[in-house]
Amino acid sequence: MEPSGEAQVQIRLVATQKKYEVPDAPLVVPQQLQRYGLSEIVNHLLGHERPVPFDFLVDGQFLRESIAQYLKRHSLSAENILTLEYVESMLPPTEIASYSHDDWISSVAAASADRYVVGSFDGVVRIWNARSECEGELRGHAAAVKSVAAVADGAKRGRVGAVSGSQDRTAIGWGIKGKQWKALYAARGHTDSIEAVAVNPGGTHFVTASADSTIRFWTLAAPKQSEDAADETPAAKKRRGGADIMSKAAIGTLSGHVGAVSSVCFNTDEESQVFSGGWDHSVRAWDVAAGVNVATSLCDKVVLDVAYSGHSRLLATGHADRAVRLWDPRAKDSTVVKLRLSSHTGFVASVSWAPSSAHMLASASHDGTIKVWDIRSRTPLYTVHAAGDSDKGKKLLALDWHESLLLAGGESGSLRIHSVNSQYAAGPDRAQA
Amino acid sequence: MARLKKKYTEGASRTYTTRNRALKKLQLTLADFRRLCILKGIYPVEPHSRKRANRGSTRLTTFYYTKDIQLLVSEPLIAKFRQHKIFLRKLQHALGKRDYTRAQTLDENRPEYTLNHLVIERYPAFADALRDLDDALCMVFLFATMPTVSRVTKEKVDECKRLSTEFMHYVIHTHALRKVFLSIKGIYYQAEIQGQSITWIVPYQFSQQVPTDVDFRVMATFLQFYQTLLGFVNYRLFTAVNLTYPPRLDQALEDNAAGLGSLRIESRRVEDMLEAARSGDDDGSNGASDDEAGNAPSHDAKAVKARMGSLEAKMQAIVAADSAAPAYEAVGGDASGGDEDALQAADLLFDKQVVYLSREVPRYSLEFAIRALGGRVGWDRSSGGGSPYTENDQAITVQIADRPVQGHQFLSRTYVQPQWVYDSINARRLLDTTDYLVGQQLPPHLSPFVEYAEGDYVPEEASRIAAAAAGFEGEVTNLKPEDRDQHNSEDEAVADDVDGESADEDEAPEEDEEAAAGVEKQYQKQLLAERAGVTFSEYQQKQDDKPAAAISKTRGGMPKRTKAQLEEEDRERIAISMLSKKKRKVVNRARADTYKRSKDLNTMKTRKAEATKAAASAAKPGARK
Repeated sequence: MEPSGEAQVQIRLVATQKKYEVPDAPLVVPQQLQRYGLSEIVNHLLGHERPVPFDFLVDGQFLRESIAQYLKRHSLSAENILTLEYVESMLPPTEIASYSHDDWISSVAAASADRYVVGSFDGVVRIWNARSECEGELRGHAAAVKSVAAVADGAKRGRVGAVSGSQDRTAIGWGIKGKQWKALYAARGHTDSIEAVAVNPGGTHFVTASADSTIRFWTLAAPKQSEDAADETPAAKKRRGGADIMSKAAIGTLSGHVGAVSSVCFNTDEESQVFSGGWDHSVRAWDVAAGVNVATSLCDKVVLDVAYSGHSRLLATGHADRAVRLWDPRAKDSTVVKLRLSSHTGFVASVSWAPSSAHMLASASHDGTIKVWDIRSRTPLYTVHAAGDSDKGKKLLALDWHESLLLAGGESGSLRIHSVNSQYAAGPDRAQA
Repeated sequence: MARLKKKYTEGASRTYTTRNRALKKLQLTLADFRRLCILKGIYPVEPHSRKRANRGSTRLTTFYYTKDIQLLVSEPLIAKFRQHKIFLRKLQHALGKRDYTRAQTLDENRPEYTLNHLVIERYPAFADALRDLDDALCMVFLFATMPTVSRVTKEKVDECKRLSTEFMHYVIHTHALRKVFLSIKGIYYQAEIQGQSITWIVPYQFSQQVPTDVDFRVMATFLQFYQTLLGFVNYRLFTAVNLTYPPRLDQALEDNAAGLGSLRIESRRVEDMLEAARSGDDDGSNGASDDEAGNAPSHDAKAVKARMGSLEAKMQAIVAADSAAPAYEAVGGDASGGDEDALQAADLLFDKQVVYLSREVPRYSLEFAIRALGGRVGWDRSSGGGSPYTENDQAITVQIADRPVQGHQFLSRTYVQPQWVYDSINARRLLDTTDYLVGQQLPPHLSPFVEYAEGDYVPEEASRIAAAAAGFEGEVTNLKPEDRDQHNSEDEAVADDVDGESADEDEAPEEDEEAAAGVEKQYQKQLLAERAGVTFSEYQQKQDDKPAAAISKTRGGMPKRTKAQLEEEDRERIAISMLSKKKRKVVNRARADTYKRSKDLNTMKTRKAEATKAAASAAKPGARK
């Protein structure tokens, strides 16, 4: 018989952060409580005057409904003791700066905490620093810049600091020469617009994905002399005008996609493995050294962006059906979607994993919002809308999460920088088994 | 020149005839004529022009179709009525002469008549009889519990009781009951028999005061015909499900007021087979001396016995295959032939319930309703004898009690009020008993016969039950999109062309997405509130104190209308103004009607909102410490 007609259940609270530990004894709480009520209980036990928001995990999943609904959904009896892990909630991301451009921003990459490389549709690559100064406007492309990639410690003299791929079918490697950013070489070989570039973690090679359905593999270092492409005729060279930028030829070509390859990224855990996603609805894993398509996963939707996380060992893809899908590349049936996160109301143009957490990822979409997700919950943690009225609803095309900064840019032409403080940004030991 | 037609020879004057003219033609008294009309189903009609029908006279008379009266001319019942009249005259004379022996002889040999031919005449097909069964059932059930009056004798009342009980047994056996509604007038039942919906009303069993202004002679005539009809229908229904008709009456149980249980319903096959076996045995034993004569019957007996033995095994095999039917019993009890029309036992609402009825609840209604839906019933001794369960029985799962406070309670059973049974039947699922516990304020008992059209006021209870029913019945195997992914890919064997996701994933239920968006919004709102320093209880308090969201209305109280709606209304107005005056009147009358209905609907809605608000605010101080 329940007193006062309310159903109750026993719970045990387990803290994930040492400073918020409470006594281990099981508590009896009403079943209709949700996160908010449970958070009040924990705050009361910890004796906080000002409440600290907590999030609760049951069996590895966030509790987003009342306990009664959870029990009902999983057909659990209220007799058993339910173990709830609680962790301090993440703060919402706050916008700290916004740099405006003339044209749409196509891609953004953070080289470090105070150097951001931004490619724009007017064919100019801009380098910004944290003090909202434009360190350089790099002109060299003849058409819109579709993708940029930053090399981590590439700001040293003579070394390549950034690579940009463009619709003019070349990828230009930029580096500092004499205190100025200069184009060190132009990687020629693609026969159609370059959609994506990615630099490997070791900083030695980079890949470019193109609308001509090939992925080409290049060395990052600047060539000593111009390596002309083998199949380029002298006439074509003359037409090109013999530009003063040195040419670079590809080491290898990976073909297999049917149609444009929209995105490519390196597998940080495996040497020379690359993931790519294309308009042919496939996500492919390639062994670059062997030049072989190792695995193909098909989903029925166009893939717009891929991102791999070393912490969670999962591949996140953004799709045209407004969903973000997570894949496990190491599982035997890697063709199966592990999780589908849907909340966006427009194409998911870009996804990016948190650099230090195994569970967090961010996605930017054509509906103008950035959503921060925790993969243990079906609904996003936060939705970040544009601050200014003029920017609301404008498509977001680029996203990068670096340390505790979230950079996003798109149709509005303004690069938005958000500060993200994930309080429970756990280390690699929290990665999924 | 054509011959001049005489007036009033053709047309309405030929099709209609007055009552007096009919009486003269048939040579019957008025009482006999009325009885005959009732029995044959002939009713007076109203002609368009009384002057033309009555050959110039406009006096108020009753008219009948001439063809109907011609039908009556060749009715054998008329001869029976005349014989009866003569018998009455003779009897009267004998009694007047105080010749009691003659009177007794006359009475013993009184002319009787049956109405069987009428039933066959009026209802050539069985479906026709079922269509007209509503009236018959209402009349028979009414008289089954009526005290005897002049014209309705004890025999007739007993006959009605028997017929009504047989019909209820058929409904129980075939689980045909669909709807029950308790109203002021009585208890409405609706059963589905051979595709026809049959609705009848049973009065409450209070001690009725017989009204004095009712013509019981007319009722008695109707009753006579309906009894015959119901007898035929019962026979046909019982034989359709292989039960013996008429079922035997167990006098001991009947004397003990066992009600439904006093009739022994038996399967026909067993009876017949047993009869055949018994008669076969007798023949066999008699013809043992005479080989030739005995061979034939003994062969019959042996074959019959062999067939009976194999029949039982065959029956059990059939029963095992059709696992819905309960175990077959050889003789007696509730026989269960597999009737294709009957519901499967698994579908029955009270299939696993054993219900015990307290002494204050109406056993005649509840026992019928519960047993018709597969439940087992026991009752208190003071309600009647023959209960299969006593109050202390451990098997009982539900006890129906209608008292304000239940004293002693068994823990293994739920104590509910009778309305739970009826509401569950109407909702077609076992409702949550919390609203119906003993002592609880009951939710409204809504009629299942009302179809809510657009623009009608739908009571909250009805929409709640409909939503719950829909949710219960639909989407049993609704896999989430992720589960569907796994499901699909496990089936496909080819590695290369594996579809990771199903093609129609886009049709993921939109309600899920909306619900998820709502959850997300709420989460963010609450998180921000908590970060600002608001605890959960303070937040809840704020929510409660917030006034109800104001409905967005324009000045004048009408809800905002979209541009398309305004254009539509303009077009309508122009079209109406172009009509003629007569037509415009009709249109305006119709519009006034719909306007009034919508106004009533709004009044109902505002009253309901006020009532719930008042109830909530009344409950609040009690809930808070």
